[in-house]
Amino acid sequence: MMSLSRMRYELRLLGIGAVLLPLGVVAIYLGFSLMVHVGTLRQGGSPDWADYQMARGLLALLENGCSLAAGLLAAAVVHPDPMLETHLSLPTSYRATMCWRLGAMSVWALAVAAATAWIVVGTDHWIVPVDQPLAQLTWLTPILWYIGLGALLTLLLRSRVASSAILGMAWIAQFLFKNTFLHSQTLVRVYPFLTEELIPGITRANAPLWYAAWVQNRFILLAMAVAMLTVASILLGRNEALLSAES
Amino acid sequence: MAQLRPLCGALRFEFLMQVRRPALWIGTLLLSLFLFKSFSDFYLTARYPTVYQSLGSWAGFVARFFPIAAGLLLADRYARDGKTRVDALLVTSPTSTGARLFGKYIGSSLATVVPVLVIYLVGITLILAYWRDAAALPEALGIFIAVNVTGILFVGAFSIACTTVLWPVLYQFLFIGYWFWANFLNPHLGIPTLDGTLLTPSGDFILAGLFPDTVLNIGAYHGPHIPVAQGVESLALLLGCALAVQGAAWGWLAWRQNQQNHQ
Repeated sequence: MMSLSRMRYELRLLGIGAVLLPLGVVAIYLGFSLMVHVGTLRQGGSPDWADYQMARGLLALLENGCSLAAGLLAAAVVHPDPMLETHLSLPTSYRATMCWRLGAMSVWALAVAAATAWIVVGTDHWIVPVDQPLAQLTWLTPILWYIGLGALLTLLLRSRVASSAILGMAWIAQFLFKNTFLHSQTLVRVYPFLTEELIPGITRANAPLWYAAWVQNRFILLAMAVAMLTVASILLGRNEALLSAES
Repeated sequence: MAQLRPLCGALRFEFLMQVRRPALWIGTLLLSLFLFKSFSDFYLTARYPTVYQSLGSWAGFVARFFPIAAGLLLADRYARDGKTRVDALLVTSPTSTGARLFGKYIGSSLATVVPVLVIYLVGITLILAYWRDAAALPEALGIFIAVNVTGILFVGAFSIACTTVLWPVLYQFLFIGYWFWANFLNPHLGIPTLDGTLLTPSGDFILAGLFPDTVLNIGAYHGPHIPVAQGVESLALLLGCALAVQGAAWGWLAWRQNQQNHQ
């Protein structure tokens, strides 16, 4: 069991950046969503249409903004500690320490997203036509998937920066090749930003056309996230491999 | 002039350090496997009436996609000096802060161009083989230098300069968001964006202005004909911004060093 002072120390090691980044993402996307709201009204759009456009911006925040930030943070958190050699000589396992840090970072990123989703639902800006609480998989799944991918790539490639580069390219590729993803029976099942791309074409009325595929996509990605985090946890126990990571 | 040799030395070492990093090659090449899987569907089709338009489309894609990897891979170059504790040692050397910073920028940015050039040449070879027209090769290389190298020098300058102030992870998030905002966002959405302006970092104006025979569908956000002068203007603006941000970083580092010397 980790003592309270150790916990405080670990949180300080994570740094203020890890705390502020998810909040900064919310602020940036919220700012852009408000700009879209104002821009729509200026172009003669109705208030309802402007609200809808803003709601799409908030959906983008929850599905792709929070997940990218969480993935980049996870890639940084599992990067070998500067005191790795010393830590490996301690009775506390290095894996336990790193899993705790990754867990703390993940809980914070998920808490920020959950609070944002709660506000979005409360202010009637939630536009995903799925019953609660299942609808919350809209953000929970891609965040966990990106955390798993970021952590796993850093450990497999032994380089945080290579992991970040792949995460960034994959994030942009998911927009650039969205038609390739959406029109492939296989790729659509693993497309993290499916909700955002299906809207506005989906409603409760045409649920038989998309609902099963959406639920399947969310659970496949969730299973992938669990698998990636499990492999990452195993890799964190391979001391010899950790020692040769890139500085 | 006395700083020219240290600058060349820094440039050479930074180039070699970056080009030998497995992260550079893995980060850039891994997703390219996915890309080349469907290369023929995108670029080897009857959609393009000439070989030049096919080349232009490929060059445009490379300029939109690969600078992301370049920007992210260059974001840890400055921070690395602090992490490996060599920054204090470097300060004691006769090399000036500016020469080290500029050598790091040019050397590591040019090294980051190398894997992108490899991917670009693979694509060019496939296109030229499809059209059986090797005469287009010089133009393909010209496009790469004007559009793609400019784009990487532009993002490289910001990645190295901004991380002298910002935490690299925060910078990386902001950079990915910036790249989406400045290259893919519809300017008619109501959000101000650089897309469709001379400062579009993916070089739409450079391509359309300097290589008009390569443009099939004139970019959605600029007029039907781009004069050569606008292409040159866009290129000069992007490189000018890169130099300005490097200058600002140099000033900031020199000021910080001065403050530390007085403590």
